Amino acid sequence: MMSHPAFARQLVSLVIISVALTGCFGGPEADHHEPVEHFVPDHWPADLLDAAAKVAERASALASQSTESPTDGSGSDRRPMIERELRDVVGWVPEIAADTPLTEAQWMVVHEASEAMSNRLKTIRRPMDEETLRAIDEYRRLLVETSETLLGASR
Amino acid sequence: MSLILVSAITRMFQGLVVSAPTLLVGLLIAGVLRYYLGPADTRRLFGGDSIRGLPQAWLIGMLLPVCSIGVLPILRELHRARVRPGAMTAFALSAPLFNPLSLLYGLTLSRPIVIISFALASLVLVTVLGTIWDRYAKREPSGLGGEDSDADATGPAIIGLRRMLALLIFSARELAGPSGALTLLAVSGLGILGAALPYGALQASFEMNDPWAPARMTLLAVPVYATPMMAMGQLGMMFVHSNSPGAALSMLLLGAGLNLATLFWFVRRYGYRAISIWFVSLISLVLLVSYAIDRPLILPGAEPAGHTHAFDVYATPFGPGTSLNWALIRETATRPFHIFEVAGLALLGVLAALGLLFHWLKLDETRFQRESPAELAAYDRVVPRPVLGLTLLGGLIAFSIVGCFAYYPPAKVCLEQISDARGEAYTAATSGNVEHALHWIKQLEDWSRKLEVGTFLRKGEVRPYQRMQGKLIRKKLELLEHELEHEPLEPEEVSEILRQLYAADQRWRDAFR
Repeated sequence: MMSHPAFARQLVSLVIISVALTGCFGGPEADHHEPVEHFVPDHWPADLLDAAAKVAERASALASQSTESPTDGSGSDRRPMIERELRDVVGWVPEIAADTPLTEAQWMVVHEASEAMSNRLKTIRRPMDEETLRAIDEYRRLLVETSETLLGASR
Repeated sequence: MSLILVSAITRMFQGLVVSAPTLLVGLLIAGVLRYYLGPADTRRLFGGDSIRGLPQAWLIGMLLPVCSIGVLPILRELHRARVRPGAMTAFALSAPLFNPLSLLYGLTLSRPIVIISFALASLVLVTVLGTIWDRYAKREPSGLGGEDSDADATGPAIIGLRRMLALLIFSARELAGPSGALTLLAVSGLGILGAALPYGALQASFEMNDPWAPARMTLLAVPVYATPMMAMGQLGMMFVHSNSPGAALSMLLLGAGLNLATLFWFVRRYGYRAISIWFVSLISLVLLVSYAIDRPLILPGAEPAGHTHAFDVYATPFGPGTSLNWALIRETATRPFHIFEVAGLALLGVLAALGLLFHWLKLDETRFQRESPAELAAYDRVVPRPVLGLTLLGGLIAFSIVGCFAYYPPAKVCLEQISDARGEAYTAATSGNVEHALHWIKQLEDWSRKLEVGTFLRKGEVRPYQRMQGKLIRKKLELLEHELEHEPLEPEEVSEILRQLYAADQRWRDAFR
């Protein structure tokens, strides 16, 4: 068995190490009581119609400048950001659709189409190929049609 | 009264309460290993010296419902039975990570592949670590090893009712002795964090795109003590807030898997040198795996929330400028606990009192060793120890599976509970009764998870639509929670969120009917 002084030394070492580790957190900027608000990204669509517009807008930006990189005016390449935003919007569509009066069957159509589109957009060719552009357009039309169905049902 | 001291004691008390049920289970398992299974069969159960020892220890750990505190009495017993050191570390690290209850809960938190990946990552980790540990930690020879001695392994067996009494006395003495002291050391990690970290200090420390998030979590998680369900709940909040997946894995592996007492116990048993190698290997492996999965496991379209309240429980519970009084401390310390945690604490108290009494009376289990088969009644049958031991361990696993069905009731029962909770939450929110509303919002969130797991258990699946509606309702409930915490309270904003919530709430409940 270990002697008491050795036991005490080990205990003190453990406590010192633990306190030292906790020094990596907190600090003045963390020492506040204000509840933090949820961050909503700028490109979060308001509804399905807005999602369709945002998809079309980004696909068109990627397609129209197939050889020349789109820039933000300062010369930096905006293409990775547009691609990421396109993937984000497609990934958010099932949630936006679920927050509407769509039935489960109607929602499943949007969900499956979004899953398929997310898989397709995992790698985006430069320049974007015709097949992907066609698939994006079909997807966009599905979102518009679903949105119209919802509008029709609410009238 | 010192805020630091009160924060530390509050966090330690909360840790003690949540650890009570699994500490009791750990004491029971340790007693079963000692008096029913015996050292030789315990070694066999943990794979002996065969190559399957490490994965076998991992699997046993996954099935037994213990936390990193409940593991401590078992660990002492495994050492006493001279189980291979690698298998001991594999068990010690994997048992607190998952149990049937938390694994099922975890499957509803994100894509099931994420939780399965986490489970497999833990298998890889404990196997590699166990192999390293087997190389550096020498198993002590028979007669020298063990917590006390190996003597009663070969001594006269205790059988019949006396063995059950021996188990009770053993558990009570353990609790009022070494295992109790280790438990206090384990929860002291929470005390240190509660004293050192300012209120809400961890809310923005683990963001999705923060390259330091996994490393930061690895540092935090060493002194942390979390039960498997707590760790899963925190993982769930991290997924909801799109926090770093690497930090989430690190939280699970170290926060749930390890505590200060586990480290301390290993240092005492194997010395600084061996444990340094083990600890450095553990931290390196956790960092390696955490960074490896950090990017690939980010969900497409993940929406970073910018903060999380998941780790508020590791910082001081009192905001700056709080004037401490007994009512506030009591209210904070006794945050809503589950009934089984309160019952566990009461049972633990009785057992500890008995343990102190037994120590004082110098009463231990050896007095039951006088019984011999000749003294048995005619109707008694001597059942071999391994049969009884394995039946008890199997029974415990079966009990935890049955427990899953009880803890996650059918959809109909969940929906009845949800109906009560939503009535309370929405009425309180409308009338501006913030504390009451926040309490019932937490209940609603909890029942929304139970609804999904209960459905999965009975139907074998949760449909994507049901899963999405669950995600939506929790998101909206959290928005309501934030709005209610806003000072000054803005009733119009609360009403607007409630209006959106009613529609989502109806769709959500309809999806599960």
